[in-house]
Amino acid sequence: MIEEIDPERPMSLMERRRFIQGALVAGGAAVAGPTVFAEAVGAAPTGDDTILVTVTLAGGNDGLNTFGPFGNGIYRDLRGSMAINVSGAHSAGDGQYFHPNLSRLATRYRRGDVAVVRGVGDPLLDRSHFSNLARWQTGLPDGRIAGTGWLGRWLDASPTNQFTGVAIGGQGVPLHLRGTQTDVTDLPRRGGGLYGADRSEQRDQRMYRAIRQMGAESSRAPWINRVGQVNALSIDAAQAVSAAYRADLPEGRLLPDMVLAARLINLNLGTRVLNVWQNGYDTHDNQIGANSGVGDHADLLGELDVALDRFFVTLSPALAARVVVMVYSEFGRRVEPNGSSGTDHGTANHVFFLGRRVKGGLYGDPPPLRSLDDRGDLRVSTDFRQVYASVIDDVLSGSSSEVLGRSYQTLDMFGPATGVTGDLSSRAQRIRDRRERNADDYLLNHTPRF
Amino acid sequence: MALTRPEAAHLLRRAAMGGTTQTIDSFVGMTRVNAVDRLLDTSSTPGLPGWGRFDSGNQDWQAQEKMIEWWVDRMITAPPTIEEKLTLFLHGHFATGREKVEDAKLMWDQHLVLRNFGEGSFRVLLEKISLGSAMLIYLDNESNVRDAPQENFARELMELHTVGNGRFTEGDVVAMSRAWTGHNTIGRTRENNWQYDPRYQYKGDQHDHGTKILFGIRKNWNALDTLDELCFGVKATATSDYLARKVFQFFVHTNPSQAVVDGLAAGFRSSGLNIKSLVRAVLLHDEFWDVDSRYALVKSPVEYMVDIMRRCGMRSADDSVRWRMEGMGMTLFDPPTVAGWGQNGFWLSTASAWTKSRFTNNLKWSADERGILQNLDSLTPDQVVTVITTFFSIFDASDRTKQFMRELIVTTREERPWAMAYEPFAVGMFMPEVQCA
Repeated sequence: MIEEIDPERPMSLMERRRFIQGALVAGGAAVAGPTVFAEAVGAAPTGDDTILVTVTLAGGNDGLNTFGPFGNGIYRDLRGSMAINVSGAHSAGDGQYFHPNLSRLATRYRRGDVAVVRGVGDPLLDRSHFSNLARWQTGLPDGRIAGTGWLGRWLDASPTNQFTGVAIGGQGVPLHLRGTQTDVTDLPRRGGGLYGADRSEQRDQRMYRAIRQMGAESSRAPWINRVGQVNALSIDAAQAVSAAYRADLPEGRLLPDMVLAARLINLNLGTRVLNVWQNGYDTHDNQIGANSGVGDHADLLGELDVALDRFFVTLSPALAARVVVMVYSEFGRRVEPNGSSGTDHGTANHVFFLGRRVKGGLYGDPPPLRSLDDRGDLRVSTDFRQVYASVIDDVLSGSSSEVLGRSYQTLDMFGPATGVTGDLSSRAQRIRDRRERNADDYLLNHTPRF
Repeated sequence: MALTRPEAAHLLRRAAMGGTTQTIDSFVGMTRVNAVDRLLDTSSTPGLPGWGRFDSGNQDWQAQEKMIEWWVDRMITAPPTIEEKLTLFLHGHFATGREKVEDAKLMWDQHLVLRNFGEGSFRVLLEKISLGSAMLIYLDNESNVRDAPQENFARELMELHTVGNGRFTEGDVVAMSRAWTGHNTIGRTRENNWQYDPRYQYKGDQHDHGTKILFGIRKNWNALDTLDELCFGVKATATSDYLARKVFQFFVHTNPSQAVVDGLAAGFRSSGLNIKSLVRAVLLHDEFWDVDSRYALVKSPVEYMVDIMRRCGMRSADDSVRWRMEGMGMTLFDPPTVAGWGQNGFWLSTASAWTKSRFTNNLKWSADERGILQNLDSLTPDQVVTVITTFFSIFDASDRTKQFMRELIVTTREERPWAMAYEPFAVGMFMPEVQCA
């Protein structure tokens, strides 16, 4: 059962199951040396613990043009000038195609590393971005928008340190990673000079020490104590993650964030869940350009395809087998285009899973194009919480009924890791490529020295 | 009950956007009633600029940036009254954001409504906001029409603006959305060359004139009747309870007892839902003055920045205010969701702390340029601690906090005498007490 949630309750460190000990007991001692941080990262989950990366396509991705029956006559009639041409698209068999700009994703699909869950949605859908995304992020049975999210509640029920949950982008911790007990580290894209990272100067060390001491003090008002703790945590987190910023991140929007996510995983700090945003999917106009292969949506998918690929390339081979990527959006778009080369807010959508633990293939019933709902929209065939239940039980080894507040039928999408590599190219080529393109990333695959 | 220094500081942190030690001292010795009434008197607050001040003629976001800078400067410089803090509260309560509204002018229009009507009748404010273009667009009532009702506004009107979650049914959402059909914007018309006109327009032919059952009452509901019912009818208790709790949480602490809320809600109802009278009752409540209420809130990023910048004699032009604010998780005129901003833990994250530390490390140099850090060398470490805590108006810092500060001063003085002032000052800005309200 879900406990009564009180997002405002200050957290006592004593309540924490596992936590960075060293950082907060430093007290009057010297600023964290190697032993202190050995303890800190010692809380890291080890072995074959899986890692989930959620890629949130904000705005409502047009799933039908992302992965669909592009050659189907009904599809072509319904979508008219906005139908994607089969030529240039990537066949997934069974008359299904990936968008022309998703060549890498299609290759992974054919290799058996991608699952596509179709017809996923929220039965309570009201087409508001805000409330839909918030309901997706909350993941409670009645569609309530709460102060905690589905992965936040999983974090609360799991052994954690402050890197177990990570938000990429520096825009705050997204609702689905928010719990009541767990600190989630929020990493900005630009990490240059994170306060606490530079330990070379005595003067900085003195200031860090004062800030840590103030954070270790527990005799004051609860929120003063809590602020002090977060200050201290930020000092330590800066040092722990600084290696992920050592090499320049690539230019772009999603790409640098995905590379940063992979580098952070490579640091092996115990990270289990991360979120990355890709914004811009609210394509009410200019979704499509002169032909079906160009336009805003094509650009976004191209960016996504490259970023997902670079993510897997950047991951160290030792960790890649443990990573599952989930790509989702708050809703799909209407089947019928609007008058502005765009689409309005719709209903059911695909959720994609990538990774070697994924049993590749199609899941969920595809919403029949012949039988749209009374508004002409795709019918939801799979409750999004079924997808979550599958992830919590089968990827994160949690208890979905506790996290989600009731039991859902899961989809059998995950198994032991298969395949040889997270990379598309041959092993030799992969190693060459990585040496060339990601020398730093490859070298980052070690426990950081402090 | 003459105000002490810590009490006056507490009052200014909560009812105003903070204040320098000099300002705080001007409240010391006043009675609670006199001090609160002085802050509630907004009759002589400075006038407001016209839209032209922000209308850059370029990108919309640039206008928003100018609005943010203007508001931050106003919060820094305006005489301390309730106006800025109350406007900030109402901005979060009636959350709308430029990201969806996509027109800074409409956000400015709404801002003026918050200021001009925010201290009076909640019923009047609710109507002005609900029929304002920013809200019509933000919660989609612009497209709520008889043949295709849109529930977004109807739901949030009840859940977020008035009665709160769990105090209405899904049937009420359907009826409420029908009652608000036809209350749209002018939209795209041939006369206007298909350009979007965001002004409010009641379109009778798009309104559902049928009978609806709302809150168990069967009648031909139309928009304004529903606001009356929410404020003064069968939902008056729920609405007054929801607002009394939220105002208390914003100004005092986040866990009021039901008895406290009941008392405030009853007073709010008997005032005819006068917002200022509710705020006054909250500020004069015994729990507001309880020692346990001090520092029971985490300052929002804008409160934190405004307070420090004022102390350092800085204005928005002296720092990248808009970007700092975003890095700390709070962009004015762009709250993250329909529910506005949260409190306390909502503001705490590593990324936010890193942005704060960049901000403070920048400010220490600016403070030095302004001569704020001079003459500390001749003082004893304990005297420096007092200077710094007094500079930030932390009159009740714990002994341990002061001890850590003192140790920093001693070691810095030994090893780097010339930097003696900067480092304790930067750490002072980072003191947990300074980040709390």
